[in-house]
Amino acid sequence: MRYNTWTILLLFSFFSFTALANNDKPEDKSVIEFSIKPLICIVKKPGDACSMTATVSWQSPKIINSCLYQGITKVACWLKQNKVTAVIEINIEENMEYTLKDDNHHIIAKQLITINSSLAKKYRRRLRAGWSLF
Amino acid sequence: MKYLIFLLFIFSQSVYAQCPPADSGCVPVGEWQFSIALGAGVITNPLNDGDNIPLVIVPNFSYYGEKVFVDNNALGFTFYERDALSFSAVSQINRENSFFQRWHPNNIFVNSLSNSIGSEAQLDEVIDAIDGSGGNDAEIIEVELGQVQERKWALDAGLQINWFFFQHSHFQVKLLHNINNVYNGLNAQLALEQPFTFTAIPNNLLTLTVGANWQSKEQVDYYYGIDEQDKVAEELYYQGKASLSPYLKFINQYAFNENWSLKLTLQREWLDSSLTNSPLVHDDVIDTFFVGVEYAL
Repeated sequence: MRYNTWTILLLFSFFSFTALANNDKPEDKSVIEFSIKPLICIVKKPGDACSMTATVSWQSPKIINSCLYQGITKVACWLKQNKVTAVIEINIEENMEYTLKDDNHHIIAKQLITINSSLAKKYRRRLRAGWSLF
Repeated sequence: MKYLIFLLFIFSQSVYAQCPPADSGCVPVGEWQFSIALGAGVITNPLNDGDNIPLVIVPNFSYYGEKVFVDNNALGFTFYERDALSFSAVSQINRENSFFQRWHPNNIFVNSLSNSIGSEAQLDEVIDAIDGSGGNDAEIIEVELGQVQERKWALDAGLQINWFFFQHSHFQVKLLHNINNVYNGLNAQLALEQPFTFTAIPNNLLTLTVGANWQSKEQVDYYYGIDEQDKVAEELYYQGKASLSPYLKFINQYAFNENWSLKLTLQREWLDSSLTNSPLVHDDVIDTFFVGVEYAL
């Protein structure tokens, strides 16, 4: 009986601590569902700029104010929303991270948009005898 | 000329030669390549009183587009390229004037201190030679650089053929004609290049090149000939003939990492007698030596 009492107390304290830890989190970012589609922009050859239309959607369990950033540039903001679907124009020259930030500029979700080229990087022979001044 | 350009486009090929990225002789299309070497070296000057060209900082840059390329002092357009063979139209600065002037584009980054050393003594000798007051005229058998009329820059253009064969062997031939009305002649360059790698030293690349520089009568006569415009005794007049000067080049590069490498270059060119017979020419070889570290961006 004594053994069972200690076991119950131990289990109780463990679950209490876990619950307390969860309550201490200021915000559970994982519950924000955030997506940008498509995630990959296809360009003709390496170095080309990417231009495409993408759909941004996010969903939060509570109503929030939020803004979408392309790198450090603000793209769009939404006031008092908990679910958004929007179409944005993407113009990037390199892989770019899009972030969703709350009122306090805390990043609550992020997504990387990558550029792929349909043609692999090409190489050609250097047409010069190596390292000569003339 | 417009027909030539038209023909270049007609025969222009869009197929790339196979070129593995790991091969040091391959460069990415559409990207600039920059490197700078810092060290010690010299290109000897075969002219009487010509200053050797010190090599301290040596920049190196290239850009290879799909057809157009810039490689240091050369601009080219490749109108045919296959696995083993390519044909290009090229234009480049002629080398010879670098021995006559200090401020050649290739010498911008080198130390000019040596140029000023002894300049007063040289000036006195030149004045003496022109005035005939420097002693016994019969003893003057050479013409110094300061005595002759200034030579001009020459820009050449022509055809370049590159042939790649066996294990990275590379044969290059250029046939160029002067296009800025300086010497109005031809010159040609031949080079056979063979790189060697050693399993015991995996980061080392040794490249041996044998080649030859051919200069037409017009080019030799313009740069190394002497006539009434040069204000020297008539006995010293010299009319140039075509020349063929072979050379041997040794380049060793040891890479510390992707950016830094140690580079050693040795080259000797044996000048043809049509050059060494000129009273302007003192040495019968041109030597190039450089050792230093190179940083590739």
